Amino acid sequence: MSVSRVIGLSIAALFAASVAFAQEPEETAREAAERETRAAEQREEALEYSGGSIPFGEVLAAPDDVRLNLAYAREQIAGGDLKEGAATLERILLLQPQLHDVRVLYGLVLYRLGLLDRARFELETALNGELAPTVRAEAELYLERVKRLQRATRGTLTLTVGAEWDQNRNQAPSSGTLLFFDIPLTAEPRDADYAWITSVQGKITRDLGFQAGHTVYGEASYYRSDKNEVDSLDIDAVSLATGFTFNFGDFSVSPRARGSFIWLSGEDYLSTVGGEIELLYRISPVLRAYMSFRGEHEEFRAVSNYLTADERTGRRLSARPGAVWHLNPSMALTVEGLWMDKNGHTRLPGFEYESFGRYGAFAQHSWLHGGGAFTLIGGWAERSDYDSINPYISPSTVREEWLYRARFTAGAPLSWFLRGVDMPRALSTINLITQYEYEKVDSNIPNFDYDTHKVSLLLSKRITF
Amino acid sequence: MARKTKNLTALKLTSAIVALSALPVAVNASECFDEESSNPKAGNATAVVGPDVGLMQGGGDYERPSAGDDVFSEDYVRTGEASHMQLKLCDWSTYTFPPESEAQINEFYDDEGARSRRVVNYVRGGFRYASGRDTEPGSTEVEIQESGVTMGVRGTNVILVELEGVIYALLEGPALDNTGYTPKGRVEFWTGENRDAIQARLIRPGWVVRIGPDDVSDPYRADDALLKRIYGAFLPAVPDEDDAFFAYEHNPSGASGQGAQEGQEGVDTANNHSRREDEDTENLPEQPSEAGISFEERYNEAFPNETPPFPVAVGEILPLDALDYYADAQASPSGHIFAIAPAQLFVDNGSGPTLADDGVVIVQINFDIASRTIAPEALASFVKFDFSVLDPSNLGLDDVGAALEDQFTNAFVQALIASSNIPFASGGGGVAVFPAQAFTVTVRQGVGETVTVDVSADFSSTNGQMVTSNAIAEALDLQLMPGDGDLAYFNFGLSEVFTIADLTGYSTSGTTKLYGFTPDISQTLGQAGPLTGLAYAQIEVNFNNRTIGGPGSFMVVTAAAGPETGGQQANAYVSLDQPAPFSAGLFNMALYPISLLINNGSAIAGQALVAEGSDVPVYADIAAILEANTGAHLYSEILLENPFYGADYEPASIAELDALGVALGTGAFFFDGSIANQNAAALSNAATGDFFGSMNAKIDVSFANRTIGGGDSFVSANLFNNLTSSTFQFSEFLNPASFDSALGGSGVFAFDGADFSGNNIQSMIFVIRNDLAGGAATSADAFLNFTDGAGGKGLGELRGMTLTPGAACPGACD
Repeated sequence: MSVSRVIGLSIAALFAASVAFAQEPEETAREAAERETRAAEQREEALEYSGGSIPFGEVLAAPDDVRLNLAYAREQIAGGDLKEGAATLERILLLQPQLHDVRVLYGLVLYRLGLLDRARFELETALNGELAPTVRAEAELYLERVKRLQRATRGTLTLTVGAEWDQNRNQAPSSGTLLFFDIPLTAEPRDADYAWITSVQGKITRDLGFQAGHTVYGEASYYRSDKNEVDSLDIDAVSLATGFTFNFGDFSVSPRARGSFIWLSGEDYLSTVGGEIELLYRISPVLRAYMSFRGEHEEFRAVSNYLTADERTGRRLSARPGAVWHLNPSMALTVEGLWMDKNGHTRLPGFEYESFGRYGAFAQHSWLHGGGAFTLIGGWAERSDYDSINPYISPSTVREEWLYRARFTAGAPLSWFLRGVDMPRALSTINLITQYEYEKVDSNIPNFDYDTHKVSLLLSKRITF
Repeated sequence: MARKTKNLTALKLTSAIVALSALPVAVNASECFDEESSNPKAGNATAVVGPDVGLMQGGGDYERPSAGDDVFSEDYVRTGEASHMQLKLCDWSTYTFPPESEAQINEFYDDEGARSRRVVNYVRGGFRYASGRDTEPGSTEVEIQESGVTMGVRGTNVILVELEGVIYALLEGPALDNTGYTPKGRVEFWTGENRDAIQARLIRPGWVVRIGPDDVSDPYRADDALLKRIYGAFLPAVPDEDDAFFAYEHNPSGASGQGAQEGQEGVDTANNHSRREDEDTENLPEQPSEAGISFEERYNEAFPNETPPFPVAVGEILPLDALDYYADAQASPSGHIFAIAPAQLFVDNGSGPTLADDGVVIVQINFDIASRTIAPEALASFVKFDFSVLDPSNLGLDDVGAALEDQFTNAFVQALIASSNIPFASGGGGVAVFPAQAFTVTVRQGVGETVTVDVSADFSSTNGQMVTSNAIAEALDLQLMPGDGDLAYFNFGLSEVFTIADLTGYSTSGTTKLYGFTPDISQTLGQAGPLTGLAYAQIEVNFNNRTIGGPGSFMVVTAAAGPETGGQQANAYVSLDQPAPFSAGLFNMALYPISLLINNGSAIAGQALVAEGSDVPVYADIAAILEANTGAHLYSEILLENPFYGADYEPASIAELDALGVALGTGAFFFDGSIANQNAAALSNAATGDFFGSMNAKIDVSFANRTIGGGDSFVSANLFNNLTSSTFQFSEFLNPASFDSALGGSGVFAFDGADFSGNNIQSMIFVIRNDLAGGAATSADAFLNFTDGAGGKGLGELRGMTLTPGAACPGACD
């Protein structure tokens, strides 16, 4: 059964109930039977509207006709015109304020419209009346959501577990050779490997109480990627960030400080500290542009398996201009540019082979398919130009390379996969996310020229508080 | 309901033009207001609830409308007790009136006829406004009578309501529009006609203002109680019979367009994960396939049995590792750099440094590649400032300017001595930068497998008058050349040195034989620094042959036994018997590396200079480092300004001395200083003053024992201070020394204090010469330094001591 079909039935039932309520309490059995018959007829009539269109003129001709208005509202809601649906429901409730079920629906529509204060009022008003248990539960659920959204301090915690398979975990060169002082040597072979992924990410946002909606927030995350075979690439990462978002009309500024710590195979490998500022401009409700500037100092440390890792220590500056265009309520296109400058402090002064300039572009199409299902299709292209030769690898060639990445992601809550299965809400809202990725680095130095296929399967649960 | 006459005022509706509309079509005959319409319909009454709802059209009376009736521009609407009304206007905007409300709605086009506008005259009560799908942003204004405040609404939802005499405006929206997005929306308040004088602005849902008689409060967040009062004003009374149910099953908005927004959290999670993955790719080690494979392993695979190179970019400072690799690759165990560069002297007498003079700097720094040491030997590596000349490319061009003070020079020499024996490993910051007291050496990568060296010097010294002299210079991009440098540090001013041309063209003939001696000696290896001892040199400048040096020229340095010398007396002798042509001078100057004048290897480095004299035609300066018999390296700079008058110049050889003994038999002989043709002594003591006087000596020669000294051999001095009328005297016996202890096989003997019976004499150089008159080995000179035991230092000489039969006899036997 489609969701729209369910709504159709709901509205029809509402219509029947409202008509029934219009009868005198001292009705006779015959009258009751007639009422039921009439209700059934009206239900059928209401259903007939599901595929058609009720002209507004027809509503104007009988604006006090609750049946017609309910059908009209149903059609408006189904068609996505929640604003008009709300106006129609309001009209119904002016006429029949005792229809608490309709008021619940009205409250939900207001919630969807983002009119949270009134949604809260209507839901609380409805909950003061008599409601069917399922409707009451729904009203209470949404009332809780509204209250949560209106809290000055809100938080989310996202837990993710899963597995990822990488066809070329060790990024072995495609050619099977690597250069050493320009002399080709046999490279280690590809090592396909899978990893267990664990991630915890939390964010707390505090509304600072300004009309402009300024906020302060803090983020913390822990990430672990435990490789099955290539243990030298086991990662534990902790990142912290805190910042503000200041709104100035359609313009927002979000400065933040950030830092991270990464352990590689249990060894202290990298710490970063830096700052970021994002400027966002809402050109229209469907189009926003942004520019992000980020500067970090990266402190790499030599670890047992990578004794020269510390040569990458240095600052990294980047800028990312982009735009998000919502093609429609369910589709968005994100386009982003990248400029980056990395300055690594190599041990050989004058050989800046860990310093590079990078530019690139990224595009992603996101599509919400309803019921929480989504797909993402993205593509990357990044060009990196290193500052000088790495004399150990190739005294004659300065490294230049393109990175290409294509990624397809699909996900949905368990409720989407198990439609019709009654399960606790805590379980039904767990997202199952699967991802395929192809990554290729096209480098003029064979050591860095590789490609790989990656597949991952993740289970993710978001908790809001 | 009958359509009332339209009566547009010029004030409000200056350009109202009515026409047919393509906007939402009502069932009624009238069309919606638009620019072309002659029938200015504003919309319809979509809900008429309660007993007291009125609509006044065309200036008539209020009459109850029917639900669905048309509403026209300038119509008044009114609700009474327990009555509600909802209007749906042609732009799909909705106005909902609570009980006890009254307002007028006017539709018109602006002056340019470009856009429709609506002015709502608020009279009392309130209304809830929601913009419609066709509402033009900023087209709606609400004039609040009595207060004179106008509320401009831009695409949003707003409630205007009067509660207990106070008018509140509550921003509700903006609501998500039909595309699912939040449009821009705000409400602004002003008074009078000036729309730019905004008194308050509502931009955030849930914020409210109070509208007073003449002004508007600042926005504030409506609390729960106020919200309930505001919303409650619009809530119809709920009948008691509350038993209606709506068979509601699921979230209705899930079927709407906005329902598809569900899933965004999954998108966010996926994007976060992807970002994390991308950062991993970015941060993970490059070439992870090489994990655990060392550089050396790869190198051995690529270059079996070779030492890994350590390449560095040209011009960059070598890391110490690279310097070590470079040293490994060098065939020569040593190298050096040499340069003559500009220098500057700044003087600061308390008012800030000023440039006092330009000059030159001579730089010679040795590198002991084998032992990874820079300036392995003090004073063989040096920086010499010279402000008596000006042009590094023409040292013969004298400069008239400031001169370095002795205090500066002495301090700088001490700094130079300290600037030695610098290990490669001591480079600052792990790179080849070596700051020392007198100079800083920086080693950079050169082209190919070479290095270049930068030397900079910046030395300051402050004298007793608190005047600071600061000499600075630098020499860059110097090539490291094989072997050690030839020169040793010298203090002699270059302005006095002959150019080769001047020396060659000097209008004199014959030979000038010069000697000099000094107690200033230093050890340059090991525990570098000053020593107690004596240096002596003599040299011939031959204007007939245009040469310097040759037979009879030599230099000797003796260091008294002490802790610095390992408890041994150290003696160094070098014969300067190889004449060097005047033309062999370096830099077009009469500056001759000592290596040109010798034929043995006991001279480490040094040079002889020939200068134009005043008392004598020429004089010379020799600064050299000689290797002593103990292995010690002894340095001294000797000014040779004393001429030999006569032929007693060449030292005798030991062979000649032995031959003389054969000729004279085994009787006793001594060199008699009492008849020396020249004897003098001087002592300087900062506390007791300067003493001058004479010396005497009688030195036995035992041909039978082949010894010098011994018996009653003595050296004495008798000095007098004219200012204090005080005297200083000493007389010390001399122990015997074997002929075989003569230095360099010549008749040159070196004694230190241990060879004497007293504590005054510190060193003595005794030279037995061939006298043309008396024969070979029949004349001798003695040069000595002594001390008064109280800080005074003295020098003495006895020249022309004649070999005399008999035994030395001090005192009464004279």
